[in-house]
Amino acid sequence: MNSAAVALIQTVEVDALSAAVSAREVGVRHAKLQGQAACVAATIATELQVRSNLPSGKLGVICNGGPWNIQPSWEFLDRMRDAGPTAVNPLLFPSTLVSNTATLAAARVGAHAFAQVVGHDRMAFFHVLKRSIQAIRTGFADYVFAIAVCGTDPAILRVANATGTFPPVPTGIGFSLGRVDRAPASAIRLLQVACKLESGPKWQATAQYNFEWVDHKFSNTSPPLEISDALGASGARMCLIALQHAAAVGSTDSVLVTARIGSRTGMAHFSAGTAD
Amino acid sequence: MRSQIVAVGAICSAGGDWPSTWRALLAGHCGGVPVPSRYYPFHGARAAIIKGVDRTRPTATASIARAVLAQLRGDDSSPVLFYGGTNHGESDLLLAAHASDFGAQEAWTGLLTDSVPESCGAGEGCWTYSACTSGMHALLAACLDVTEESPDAIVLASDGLSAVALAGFWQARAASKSTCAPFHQHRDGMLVGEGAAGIRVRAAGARSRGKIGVLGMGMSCDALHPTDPDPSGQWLRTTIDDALGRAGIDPSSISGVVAHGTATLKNDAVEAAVYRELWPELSVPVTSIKGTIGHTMGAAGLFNVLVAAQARLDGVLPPTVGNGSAPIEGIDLVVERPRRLESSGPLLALASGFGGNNVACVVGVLP
Repeated sequence: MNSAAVALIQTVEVDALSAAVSAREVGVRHAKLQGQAACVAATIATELQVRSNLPSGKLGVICNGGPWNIQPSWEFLDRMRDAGPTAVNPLLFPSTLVSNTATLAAARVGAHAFAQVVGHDRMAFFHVLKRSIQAIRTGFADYVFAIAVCGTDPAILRVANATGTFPPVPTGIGFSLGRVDRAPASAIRLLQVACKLESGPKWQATAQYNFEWVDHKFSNTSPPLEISDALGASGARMCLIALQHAAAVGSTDSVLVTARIGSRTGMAHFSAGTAD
Repeated sequence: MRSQIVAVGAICSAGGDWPSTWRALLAGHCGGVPVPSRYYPFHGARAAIIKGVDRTRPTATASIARAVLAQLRGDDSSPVLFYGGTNHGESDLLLAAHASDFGAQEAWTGLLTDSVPESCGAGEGCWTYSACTSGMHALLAACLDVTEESPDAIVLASDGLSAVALAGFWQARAASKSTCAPFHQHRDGMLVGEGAAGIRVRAAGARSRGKIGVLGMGMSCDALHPTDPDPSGQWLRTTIDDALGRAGIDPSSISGVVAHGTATLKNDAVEAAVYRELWPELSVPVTSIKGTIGHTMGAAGLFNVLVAAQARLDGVLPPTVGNGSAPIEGIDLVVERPRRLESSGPLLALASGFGGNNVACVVGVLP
């Protein structure tokens, strides 16, 4: 892997519930057959494309994983049970795939580099960032839309209730990333990004602004900032809040975000200097 | 990106490990059995089903993944990087939860956290979900990550038989009602299957010279349709060109192609057109293994890489299952019996998936 620097070009946060509704009303093909998260991902991709004003180049989409396909799958299974397998709607079938969030978003913006979903739990967005950076540095993409979604379709809420998990928060956050030398001059934020995941030893934070997330709190701020649970999108929510918090106090030169789940650590370093 | 293939493992309807699977592929066995009633009454449908898998508890995907992981790891407990790929891995859980009317706590918990990654016992790592290119995307990420200083990477792709997939493909008229015959003129669809494939890779270095490995990979996305390939084939062609470019070779160096070859009308037509464009002189033999082991979904691409690697080692390509009709014109399809490779060049393995993802892998002798 070469060491070409990767820039954060733009961030977008959408009202996930409204975005899903609007995607279902206009624009997104077969939107009524899509889960909420897939509609939100498509909306975010469109917003990122408009706001990022990217020069031409290879664009990829990577989304966080999670149970976002349960609602379409549930409807599919209901139909199978009630009317038999020959009565299901084949148009609903692709929506039953976890990968659908990324492929729907990619189709929306013509992302021809790739469309992938990675990770499956609260560490997922760090995997999204890591895979995005890898793709840009190795020339598989000039730009990547790193998209974080957390759906709250009825079936997902039933899962949360049944398992005693508190209800997840509908979330739609997108980061557009690109090679520093290809990033448009109009970029409102130009930070270099690095990401690392590891198991075992505690990560030693050295950045100017350190945010550490444990049990849905930024534990090292005073008072601790609560982070509502966005399941697989939690990492993006952390990063966005950390960047906003740092910007509010005029300190965006170096922002380090760490998340710990058990012995696992995810880290994203947003730096105006050398990312690595 | 260049990586040595250190070890492989597999389980599918044709074999409980990679050597037995390879023997079945060389024999050109026609795969598939009638779909058992537990998967709803698909009259006339066939599927490539692994015998002996415990399907009473979720999930078959995790259980066959664990089996392949054991083949790859043995007693070795040294640290490894982990890359997984799956497509419909949660289907068993969905079915269990659906049937229980929210009574199966275990199933619900699994749905929320996606039990496949943890329950296959692979440890920390990243799972990729990109439909039938999942395993290939995982391999690509692994090959980019491994360095001479890093641990080896284990790439594991797995999908158990899914009633959702059976019904979906059946209703989309993409499932075969007879013999699954990829690249044949009278083909009528795919053989839905299940399986897990695994590869252990390490960064190519001086000590890997002369060994089999990944020379280059490419990827793209049609970004066009939820299920159908771009009829122009332009992005599939781009993917192949990218992989060849990264491997530092041109199309004439390729000694054989292990195609995605699902036997659906649309996929095989697009793929064949791209091959005709690349090799108009019919200079490169093409095969598809899906008539024997079925379409193993997220694992399908990784199975193709295994076949390409073994074909390079043994100098022979397995045949494509036929149905009595002629092969699609304009490609040199390997049929009836294995074909001896005429050159020592690398092979090309391919995978495509729902949503338009394409991944290509050049497998050959490491320089």
